[in-house]
Amino acid sequence: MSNRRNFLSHVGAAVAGGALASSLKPLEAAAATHAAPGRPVPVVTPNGSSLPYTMEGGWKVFHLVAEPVKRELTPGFLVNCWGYNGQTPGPTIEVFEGDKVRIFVTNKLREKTSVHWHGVLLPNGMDGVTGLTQKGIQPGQTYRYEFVIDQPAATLMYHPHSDEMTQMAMGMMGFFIIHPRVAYSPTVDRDFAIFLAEWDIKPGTATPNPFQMTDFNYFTFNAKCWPGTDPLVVRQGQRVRIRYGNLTMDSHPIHLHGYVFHHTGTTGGRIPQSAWMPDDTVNVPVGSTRDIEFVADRPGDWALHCHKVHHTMNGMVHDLPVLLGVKQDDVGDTINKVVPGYMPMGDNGMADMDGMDMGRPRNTVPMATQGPYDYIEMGGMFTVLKVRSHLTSYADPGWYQQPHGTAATLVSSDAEAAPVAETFTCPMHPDVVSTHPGKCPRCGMTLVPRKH
Amino acid sequence: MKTSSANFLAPSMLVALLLARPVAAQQNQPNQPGQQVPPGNQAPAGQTPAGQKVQPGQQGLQGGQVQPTQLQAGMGADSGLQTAVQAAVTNYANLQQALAEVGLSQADLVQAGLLKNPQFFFQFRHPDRAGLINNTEYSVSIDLLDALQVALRRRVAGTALQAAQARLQEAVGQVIARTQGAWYDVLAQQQIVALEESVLTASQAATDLAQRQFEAGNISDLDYDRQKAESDTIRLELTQSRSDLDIARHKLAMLMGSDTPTGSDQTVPAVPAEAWDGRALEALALQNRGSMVAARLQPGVYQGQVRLARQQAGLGEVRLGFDREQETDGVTVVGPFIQFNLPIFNHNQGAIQTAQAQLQSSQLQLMATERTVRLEVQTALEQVRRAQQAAAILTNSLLPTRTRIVQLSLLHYNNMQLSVYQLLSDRQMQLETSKMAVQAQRDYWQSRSELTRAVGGQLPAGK
Repeated sequence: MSNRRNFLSHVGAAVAGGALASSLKPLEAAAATHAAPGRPVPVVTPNGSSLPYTMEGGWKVFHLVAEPVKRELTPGFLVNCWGYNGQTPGPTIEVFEGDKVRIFVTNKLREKTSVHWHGVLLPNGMDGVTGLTQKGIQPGQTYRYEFVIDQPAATLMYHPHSDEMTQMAMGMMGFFIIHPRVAYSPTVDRDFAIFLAEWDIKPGTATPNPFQMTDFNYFTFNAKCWPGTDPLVVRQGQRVRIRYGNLTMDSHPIHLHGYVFHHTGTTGGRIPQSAWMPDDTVNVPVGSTRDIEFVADRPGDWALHCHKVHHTMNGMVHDLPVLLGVKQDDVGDTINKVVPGYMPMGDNGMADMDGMDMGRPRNTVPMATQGPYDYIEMGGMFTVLKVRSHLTSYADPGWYQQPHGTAATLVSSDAEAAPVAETFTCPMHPDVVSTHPGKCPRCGMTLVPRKH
Repeated sequence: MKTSSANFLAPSMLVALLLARPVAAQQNQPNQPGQQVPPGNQAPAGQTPAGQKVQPGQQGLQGGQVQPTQLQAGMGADSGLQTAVQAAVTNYANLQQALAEVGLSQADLVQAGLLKNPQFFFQFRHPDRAGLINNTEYSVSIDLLDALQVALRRRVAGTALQAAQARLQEAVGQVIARTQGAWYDVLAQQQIVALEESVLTASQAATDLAQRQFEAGNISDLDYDRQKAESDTIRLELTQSRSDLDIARHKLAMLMGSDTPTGSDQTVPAVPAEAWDGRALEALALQNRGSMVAARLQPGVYQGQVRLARQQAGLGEVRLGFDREQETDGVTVVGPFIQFNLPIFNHNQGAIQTAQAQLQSSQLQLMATERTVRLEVQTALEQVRRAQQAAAILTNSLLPTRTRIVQLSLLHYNNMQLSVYQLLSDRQMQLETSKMAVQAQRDYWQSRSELTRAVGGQLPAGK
C-alpha cells in the first residue's frame, strides 16, 4: 500500500515523465497508415485526454480528482461543470485485460462522492455505490479502489454513484476502456472515444440545471458543441473504431455520413464478427456504450452527428411560437414602432438569421457558423470525420476540396423554370401519381401528364 | 353716505387681495382666544383695524406690499399653471360664498359706524273752547346709548370683517390647490393616454400576429381568443383613460370659468428631492392659515357682542332730548328729557347668554381648528413623502430595469431564445411602469399643492 507522500511523488514523476502507453494527446501520425499488428492503438478522446498512470509493484496506479471545472463548450460559451482532473468528461482510463488496477479518488467537491466503474466486473466493495457498497467520499478525502481486470475487452465507463442526478448533470463521467492483450482482428488504425452528454443551461447563464429531466438545450460530444468539437482526422484506407458512451437521459442515434459501418461492441464486450450488424446509424441507449468500425476509404468531410435533430442545435428553445407560413411584414413594421430594432422571423423557417450579427445574450453562441460553402446550421452533437489521402499529422487539415465534377451545382435560380421529371395522374383520382403513362389502378382511366 | 349696491369684489380687487400678505401678518399682535382687541388696533370709523380706509364700493383691500405669495408659490416658471390659477381665482363662481360673506361684513362695518338719526317730535292740539291758543309741542332727541356704543360696534364689525377676509383667503387657497391639482391631473392623464395607446399598439400587433397564426393553422382558436381578450381589455382601459382625460379637462375649464376644455402640451415635472420639518410647517400653518386667523379673531367678535349686550341691559333706547311746549294759555315750557326702559323684568339676559354661548363655541372652534390644521399639514406632508418615495423608486430603479429588460429581451429574441409575444409583453410592462411613474409624479405635485394650501399658501423651500 502506498502512503500519500509516495503516491504524490509517483504521480509527479508520471506527469513529468510524459506519456507511457496511454497518450496525453492524439498521436502524431508517422508515415504508416496502419497500426503495427498485435498491439491495440491508444484511444483518441477528441477534446480530451487519457489518464496517465504509474506502475507500483505490478499495479497500474491512477489518480482521479473530482472537482469543479470550467469548460468552454464551444468558443464563447463557458460553463460551470464538475469533472475529473480539470476536465469533463474525465480523462479516459485505458487498461488491458488482466491488469491489476489501483485508482485513488480524491474529492475536491463540496459534497460527498464516489466512483462506480460501470460495466467492470469487480469485488462488490469496489462497485462504488454510496451507501450500498461504501461510505461516500467526503470532501477532502481520498479513497482507494483496487481490482483486477478479469473480463474481455470492452468499452466501459466511470461515473459517480452519489447524488448522481446532480453530479452527472454537471458532467462527471469518463471512459474506462479495457484493451485486449492482443489487438482484435481486423486491426483498428484509429480508435476514437466520444462521450455523449446533455445539458440544460438557460440563455445568459453558465450553470447547468441538474433538475432538468427532459427539456435539454445543449448536447455535446466530449462536453463540446459544434463548432467546438474536434474533427476525427483519419487517413484514407485506415480502419476506424468509434466508441460512444451515453450517460444522458435520452438515447442518441449517432449517424455517420458516407459510410456503412458495423456494430462491433457493447458494454458487454466485443460482438462476434458473425453477428456484426451493418448500419449507418447506431442508437446508443442510456447507460450503455457502443463500438462501431469501418474502413475510411472515401475521402471527404463526413458529418457525424446525433440524428435527433434538436440535438444538433445550440441553445434550442422549445416554446417559440410557430410562425411558418405567417406573413409578418406589415405587423412587423407596427411592432418595430413599439420595439425599435424588432424584425420578423420564422415565417420561412429558421434559416432567416444566418449570418446576421445582432448581438447575443451573454454566454451564448451563434445558431450557425460559416462553412466552406454556406452557413452550417448545426451545433450540439455534431462533428466531422475528415478523411484525407495525404496527411502529415492528425491536426485539422482544413476543409475538404471536392474534386471537380463531384459536387452539387446550381442549375437554375427560377423555381418555375427548373426541369422537373414528368409524372402522370388520373383525372378522377389526383392522388394517383405515376412516373410513366398507363391506366389508373382504381378506375382504369388513362393517366394524363400531371401539371406542376 | 352711499353704499355700493355691488357688495362683491371686482376681479382686479381680488387679485390684489390674493397678492397681499396673509391677514395675520398685518396685525401687530395676532388675536388669542378671549383676548380683547388691543387699543392700538381699534380703528376709527370707516377703517379696518389695519388702518386701511374702507369706502363704500371699495372693499377688501388689505393694504400692505405686493408679495409673490399664493399665486406664485410652488409654480416656479410654469406659466401655463399660473394662467390657470389666475383664471380660477378671478372666477367669481369659485369664491361666491366667501365673497358674499366679506361683502356682508363690509356692509356691517359701515353700518356699525353710523349713529342713529336724531328723532324729532311735533304735535299740535286745538283747544275745545275759545280764548285759548293751540297747544304745540316739539322735541329733538338722540339715542345716547347708541352714540356711546359706536366705537365698540365698529371694533366688533371690523374684527368680523377681518375674520371674513381670512376665510376668503382660506377659500382662495382651496381654489388654488384644487386648480393646481386639476392642472397636474390633465398633464398626467395626457401622458397616461399616450402610454396606453402605445400599450394597445403592442397588444394589437400581438393579436394581429396571433390571428395570422390561427389562420395558418399554427395555433388553436383558444390561444387566439386568449390573446384577443388581452388586447380588448387594454382597449377598454384606454377608452376609460381617454374619458378620464376629458373629464379632467372639463373640470379644469370649469374652475377657470371657461367653456372650452383645457389642455396643455406640457408634461408633469420631475419630482425634486426636497424635505420639510413637520413641526416647522405646523407652526407656519398655525400662523398663516386663513381658517386659523379667522378662528382666532372670532372670539373677539363675540366678546364685543357680549359687552354690547351687557351695555344694553334691558334699557332699550336711552333717549336724551330737548322738548319745547307752548300750552294753550300761552305758557311755553322748555327743557331736556331722558327716556329709557326700566330694567325690571328684562336685563337683556337672552342676548347676553346668546353672545356668551357664541363666544364659548368660538373658543372651542379655535381649538378644533388648530387640531384640524395640524392634521392637514401632517397628512399632506406624509402624502408628499409617499409620492416622493414612489417616484424615486420608479424613476431611479424600476423604470431603468424595465428598459434594460426590453433591451435584453430584444437581444434574446434576435437569437431565437424568446418569442415575439414575450418581447411585446416586456415592452408593455415597461410602458405600464412609465405610467406608474407619471402617476407618482402627479401624486407628488398634487399633494405638494395641498401641503402649500395646508400651511397657508407659502411653502418654504425644502431641504
